[in-house]
Amino acid sequence: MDHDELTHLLRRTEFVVRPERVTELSALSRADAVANILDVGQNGTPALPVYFQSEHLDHGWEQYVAACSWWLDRMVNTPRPMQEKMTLFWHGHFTSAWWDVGKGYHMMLQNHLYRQYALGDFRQLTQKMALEPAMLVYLSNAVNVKGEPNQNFARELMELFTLGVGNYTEADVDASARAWTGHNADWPAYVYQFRSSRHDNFDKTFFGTTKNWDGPDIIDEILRDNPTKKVVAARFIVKKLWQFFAHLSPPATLVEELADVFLATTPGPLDLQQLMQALLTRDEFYSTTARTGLVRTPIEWFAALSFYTGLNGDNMGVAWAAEATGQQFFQPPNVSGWRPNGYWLNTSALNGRAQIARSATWRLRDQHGFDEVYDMTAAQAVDYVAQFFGIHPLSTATRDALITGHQAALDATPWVNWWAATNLLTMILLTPEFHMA
Amino acid sequence: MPDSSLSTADIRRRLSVPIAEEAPGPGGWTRRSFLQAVGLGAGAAAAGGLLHELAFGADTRTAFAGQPLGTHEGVLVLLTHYGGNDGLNMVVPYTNNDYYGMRGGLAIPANQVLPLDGVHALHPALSTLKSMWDAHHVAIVHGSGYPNPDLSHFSSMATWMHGSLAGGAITSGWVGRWLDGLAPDLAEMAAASIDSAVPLSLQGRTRGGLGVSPWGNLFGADSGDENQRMYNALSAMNTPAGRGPWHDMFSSALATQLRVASELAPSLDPEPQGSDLVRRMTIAARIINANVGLRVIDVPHGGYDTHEGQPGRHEELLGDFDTALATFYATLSPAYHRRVLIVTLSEFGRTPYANQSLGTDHGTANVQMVIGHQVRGGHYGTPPSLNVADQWDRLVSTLDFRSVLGTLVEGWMGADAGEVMEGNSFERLNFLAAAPGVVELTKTIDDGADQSGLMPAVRVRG
Repeated sequence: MDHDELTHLLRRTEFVVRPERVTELSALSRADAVANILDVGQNGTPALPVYFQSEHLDHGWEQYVAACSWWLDRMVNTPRPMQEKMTLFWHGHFTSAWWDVGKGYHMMLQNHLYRQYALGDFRQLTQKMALEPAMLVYLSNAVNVKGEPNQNFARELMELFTLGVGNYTEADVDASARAWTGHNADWPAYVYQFRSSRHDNFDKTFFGTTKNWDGPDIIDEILRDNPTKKVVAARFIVKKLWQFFAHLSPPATLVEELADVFLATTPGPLDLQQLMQALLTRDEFYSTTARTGLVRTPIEWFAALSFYTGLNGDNMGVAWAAEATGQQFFQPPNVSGWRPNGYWLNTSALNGRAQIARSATWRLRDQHGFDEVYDMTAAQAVDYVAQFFGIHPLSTATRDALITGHQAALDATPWVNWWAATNLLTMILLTPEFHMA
Repeated sequence: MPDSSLSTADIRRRLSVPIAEEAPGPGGWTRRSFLQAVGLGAGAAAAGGLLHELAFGADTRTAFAGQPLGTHEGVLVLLTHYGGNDGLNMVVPYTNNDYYGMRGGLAIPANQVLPLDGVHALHPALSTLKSMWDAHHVAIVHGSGYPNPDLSHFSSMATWMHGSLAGGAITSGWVGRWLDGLAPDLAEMAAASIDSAVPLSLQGRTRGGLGVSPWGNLFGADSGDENQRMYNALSAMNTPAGRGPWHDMFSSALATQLRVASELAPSLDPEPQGSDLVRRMTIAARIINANVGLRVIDVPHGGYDTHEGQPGRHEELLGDFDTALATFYATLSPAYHRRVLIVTLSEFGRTPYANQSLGTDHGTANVQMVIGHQVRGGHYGTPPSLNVADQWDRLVSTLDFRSVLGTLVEGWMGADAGEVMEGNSFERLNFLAAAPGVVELTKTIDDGADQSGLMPAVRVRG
C-alpha cells in the first residue's frame, strides 16, 4: 500500500502512525490493510476493570480521573486502536454525560457496551443502548410513565440517533414516547426495569401503522422493518461516520452508495465492520479533501501526545486539563455530541492545548528528553523533532518559521541551548501539523 | 421537552460555534485579510520567514496591538443568566396578591424584600443592585420575550443569541453581526467571551469574537526573551501552508491567541479571587481598564434552571450576581464608569405558579436589567399580567426581546440597529440618559415611588 495513503489511514483509524504498524501493513493491498485495522478481535475480549463496575460514593472524582486515564491508555496501547476510535464515535453519537447521569459506573458500563459493539450490528447496538441505565437516566426514559409520557429519548432517538430532523412528525414523537413508557430504571441503583403497570398498552400510530407499539419495536421499525426509514437511517449514520473519519462534506452519491453497502451486509444488514471496510477503501477517503479535512479533537490530540511522549493520562492530568481544551472525557457538551474542526479552534481552547503542550514539555525536558538536539543545526533539529512526533515532512510554512525561530534562539544563547531545545519541543507540539487528524 | 437533560453550561456549549460544514471563509477567524492589508498576502507568504521578519520587525505581535477606544465609544458587558432566571423572584411584585397566591412557599415575604417603590421590590440578596437603583443607575425592563415561545433552553437561547426574528437557520448572532460592520482594524479585538467557548451571539457572518480563558495562565504572556522568540516563531507559522483551510485556521487561531495573551496578560495578574462569576467579572473590568479595544464582553452565569429547591439556590445565585456586580465596579477604573453598561438576559423566565417540588418550570416573558452610570434609572415596559388562571399558563410577553438589545446597538454601540437585528419592527426604549462618556447634568430621574411604580416605555422611533 502506498506509504502516504497508509499513514493517512492509520492516523484516522488508530490515532497515530505506529512504526510497527507501517511495517506490518505496507506490503498489503489497501483492502487487506483495512481489514487488518478492523480486525479488533486481536484485542481479545476487553474487560472493564472491577473498579469501574460499581459506585464509589466517596471517591466519585477519583473514579472519573481513573476512567479518563484508563480510556486514554486503551486508545494508545491496544493492538487495534480502531476499537477505541469507534467507541469514541459512539460516545459522541449515543451520548450520555458523566455528571448528568451522576453515577460514573453506569457511564463506564455504557462505554463498554460501545466498545463491545464498536464494529458490530448497528440495530443491536441501538437496542442495547436504549436500555442501558446511563441512557435511561440521561434522556429521561427512567421517568417515562403511562399518562405522563416524556419525549426526551423518543425525540432524540429519531432526531439525533437515527434519522435526522424532517423525517418524522410530532405525532410520531408522541407515539414513540408512549411506546417507551415503563422502560424505566429502578432507584437508587438505576438497574433497567420494565414496569408493565407504567407501560401504555393502548394503540399508538407510528409511521402510519396503528398497533400496540412497544419501545424496542420502534427501533426495529426505524432500522429494519420500514423500507423507507431504514434507508434514511443508513444514510444518516454513513454520513456521520464519513464526517468523523474523512471530511465534513461527503457528496450525496457517496453517502448513498455506502448506505447501500450498509443495508446489504451479510448475514444481516447494518453490519458496521463491513460498512467501515467499504468506507475506508473508497478512493475518496484518500483524496486531498479527506487528507486535509479534519482537525484532531482534543481527545485525539491527547492520544497522540500520550503515544509520542510516553506520558499517560495521570501524568498529563487529562481529567483536569481537558476542560480548558473544550472536550472532556465522558462529558459531551450536550445530547448532540461534539462538533468538528472549527469548534476547537478558538483562542481560549487553543490556550488550553498550549498549556498542556507546555507542561508535557517540562516533564520531558526534566528527564533530559531531546538533549540530543544540542548537537544539531537548526534545520536538523526541527526535522528530527518533527520526525519524532510523526509529522515529518512539515509544510514549508511551518518548517521555515520553526527553523528561523530555533536559529534565533541558538544565536541568542550560544553558550547554553537548554531553552532553545525546550522551546523547540513546545513549538512542535503546537504546529498545525500535530493538530491535524 | 427536547433537551431537558441539558445543563445550562451545556446549552452554552451547544450554542457555541456552529457546525462548520464548509471551510472557514476569507474573513472571520483567519487573519488573511489583515495580512493582506499590511502587504503580506498569500504571495508574500511564499517568500518565507525572512520577509516576515522584515515586515513585522522584532516582535510579530506588536503589529496586531489592539486599538485604544475613542472616548465616546461605549462598552457593553453582556451578562447571561443561563437556565432561565426567575424574574418574578428577582424583581418581586411584593404588593400583588396574585403573586403570593401563585407562589406559595416560594414567594419572598413582603417584609424581607428590598422595596423600589409601591409595586416592585428586589430580592433580598440584591443589596448592591438596590444601592445602584437608589443612585438611578438601574433600568428594569419588564415583559421581554419573543413570539411563540419555545420552552426549550436550547431553542430559546438560540433565539436570544440570534437577536433576530429573521427565518431560516440560525448561523449568526447579534454581536457577531455588529462585529461584521466594524472597520477591520477595530474588529480584530472588539468582542470577547470570558469562557473556553465562544457563544453563537458573538459569531458574525464573517467575523467572530475571541475567547479569553477564565482560568488565566495565558500561553503567550511571558515577557522573557526566550519565550518571546518562541511566540514569534509560532506566529510566523500563520501563513497559507498549502495543506487545506483547517491547517491554516489552526495557525491563524494560535497566532490570535498569542496576541490576545500578550494584550490581556496584565489583566489576569494577580489571579482573580472569588466565585467563578466574580472572577469572570473581575477579568471583565480589568480588560476594560486595559483599553485594548474590547467593546463587548460576554460573561456567562449558569445554574438558574430551578425546577426544585429554588429558594436556597436562587438566593445563592442572585447573591453571587450581586457580589460580582460590586466587585466589577470596585475593579473598574472610574475613568470608565460613564463608558460601560451591563445588560442582563436569560433564555426565558419561569412559570408564575410554583410547582410541587418548591421550584418553577420553564416560562416565557422576563425582566431584563440595564445597569450603569449613563442609564436613566426606572422601569420600562409593562409587567405582564399576573392574573393567570392555570397552573401551566405562562406570562404573556409585552415587549419585543430585540428592544433592549436593539436600543443598545443603536444608542450605545453606534450601529444601525435595524441592520444588526435584521429588522426594525421593535420599539426603542429611552433608558439611556446620555451617550458613552458624556457627562449628563440633567439625568432624568423617575423612581416612581409614589406613582404606579411604572414609567411607560417611550417610543423613540420605529
